[in-house]
Amino acid sequence: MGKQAEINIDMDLCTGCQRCSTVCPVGAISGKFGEYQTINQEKCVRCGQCVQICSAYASIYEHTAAAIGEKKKVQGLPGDYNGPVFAAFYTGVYQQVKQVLQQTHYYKMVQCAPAVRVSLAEEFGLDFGVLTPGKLAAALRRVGFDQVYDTNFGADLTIMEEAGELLDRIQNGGVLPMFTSCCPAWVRFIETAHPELIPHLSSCKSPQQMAGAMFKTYGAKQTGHVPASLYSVAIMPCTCKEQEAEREEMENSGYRDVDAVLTTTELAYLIKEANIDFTALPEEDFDRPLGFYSGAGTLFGVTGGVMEAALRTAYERLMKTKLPDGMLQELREGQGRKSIKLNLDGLELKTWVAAGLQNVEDLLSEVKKGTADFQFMEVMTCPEGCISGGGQPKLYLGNRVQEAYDKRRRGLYQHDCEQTVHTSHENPEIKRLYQDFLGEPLGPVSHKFLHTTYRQTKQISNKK
Amino acid sequence: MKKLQSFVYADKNKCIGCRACEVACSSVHSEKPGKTIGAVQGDIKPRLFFVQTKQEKMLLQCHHCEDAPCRASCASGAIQIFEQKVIVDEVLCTGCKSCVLACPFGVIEIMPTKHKAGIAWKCDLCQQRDEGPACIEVCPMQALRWVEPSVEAKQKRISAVQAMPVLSQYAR
Repeated sequence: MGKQAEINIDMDLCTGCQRCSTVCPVGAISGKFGEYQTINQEKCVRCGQCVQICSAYASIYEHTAAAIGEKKKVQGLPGDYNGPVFAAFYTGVYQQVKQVLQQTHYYKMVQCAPAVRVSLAEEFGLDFGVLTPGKLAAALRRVGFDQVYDTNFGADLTIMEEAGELLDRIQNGGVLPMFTSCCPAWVRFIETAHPELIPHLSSCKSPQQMAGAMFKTYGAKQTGHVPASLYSVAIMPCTCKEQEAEREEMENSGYRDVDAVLTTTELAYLIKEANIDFTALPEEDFDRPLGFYSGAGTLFGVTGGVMEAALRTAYERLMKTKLPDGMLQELREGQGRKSIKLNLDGLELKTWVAAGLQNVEDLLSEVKKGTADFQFMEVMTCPEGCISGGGQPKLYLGNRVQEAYDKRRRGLYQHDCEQTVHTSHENPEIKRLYQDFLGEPLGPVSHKFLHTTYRQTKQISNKK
Repeated sequence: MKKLQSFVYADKNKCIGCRACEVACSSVHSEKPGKTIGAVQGDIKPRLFFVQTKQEKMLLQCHHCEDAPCRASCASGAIQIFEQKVIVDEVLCTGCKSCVLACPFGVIEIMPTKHKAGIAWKCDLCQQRDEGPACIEVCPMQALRWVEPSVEAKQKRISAVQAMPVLSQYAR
């Protein structure tokens, strides 16, 4: 496809303050203090934390309007964008999506990650973390999508497959501990920096890719369209998801699972360019069947959420009873990383949850030495999971970032409470999907469409 | 004696040049509500100025001079001392640029607004903001600080006195 979303630094705007290199989890940014910094694209995992923290901008005192306009073009910003231009930037496929949305011969499907519904409204003047799933669905219809589905549904599907895979690995002597594979920057980190650990990654595709694969198979059938006429877009809080969508493995149906990915920020551009008054939009629902989700699915947006969703299902499956309230509370507390131990009908399960790649290095060493005493680990690259993703709205006052994360996190937990179903396996649309199309978790159809493989990507030097 | 006017001062040994203060300054003076780049939009129009030379980086902003040359130079009476701050009256200002020439620090610019083609643009110590200056709040290096000149001078004199006994051996 030749798209290759990337993160770059404008050498002209960079002042060499090096705040980006302090947040880069893989040491991909180098340069002298006070001089412009460069990104090693082979090392970079596209997490976008540098884009979030960068505050060196094109000053109207120093640059002409024409020069700033030129930089906007290079950064792929919309034509009518009148905001600031920063040194560290992400270039994705915004212009391409905008063009396709104007074409009538595609049937356009969209999905939206959990974390987007607690941050998009910030771009329209509302407070941090205001929960707007209804307006989000309404906005997506008005910018031109024919089916408004949801990544949360994909998250429920991921739980079905991943919980199944974990139990299968435990019961049948598979490679343990198993690592989650929903964060593409984490997957890329394993592939580039620790390729010997690839067998530990769950073979499950991420919710985005699972949902995408279902759109072009089951979804195509449901809506009476041929897969070739479908254009599938994902809205993500992430600057790495476009690259995940571009992976060559991601087309087991014969078509790209996901054709394009927009960040939360880019969706806000799209809504503004269409002159839509976001705050005045009505509350609408996501379309069924592929837009119906459980509270567990929505937790994927926050660190610890994938683990909580997986353990809700694993507990109820193995214990044949409801999970007691507050039993997984530890997963919602503390920062960086946390561990939880459960005894599920005689099965001793120890798990780790980590956010930030710097918090996993010693655990990975244990795994390599064979001394790891845990079975399952959730890792997200960004500091508090997807709510703090590189594609999320960027703050003017960088010191308020913790307040933003806290409010976004609260919004997602609140959204879990609001759902009628709280576990992925009880999502009626998930049940129907398995009944009508997939058969059973880890079955041959699931295996074909919902699982993937990984490969060592160019070996990088170990020097940080 | 009247209390000397405060100002924000940058320590050039601490400043790393991230420009977060300028971005913050611009956003808190914006008319649009919102806390993210997408919500506020518009150019970044800071009232403090990042200066980078080969050797140094520093932020410069208004010293809120007691006998402010900008105020003395203003023909339309637009620059006044208000609550111990040198403030531009945007209605009276004609954008004549006399203050730009008069300011010894070069920390006044002329900037267009919604209603006018250009007015004097300078630090107002975030007078509209309960939390005080946004630049100080946002600096990751604590390079910017609020200076109370009378207090600082008094503090320096105390330090100087504490150093005196050493000198006194020689003065006897």
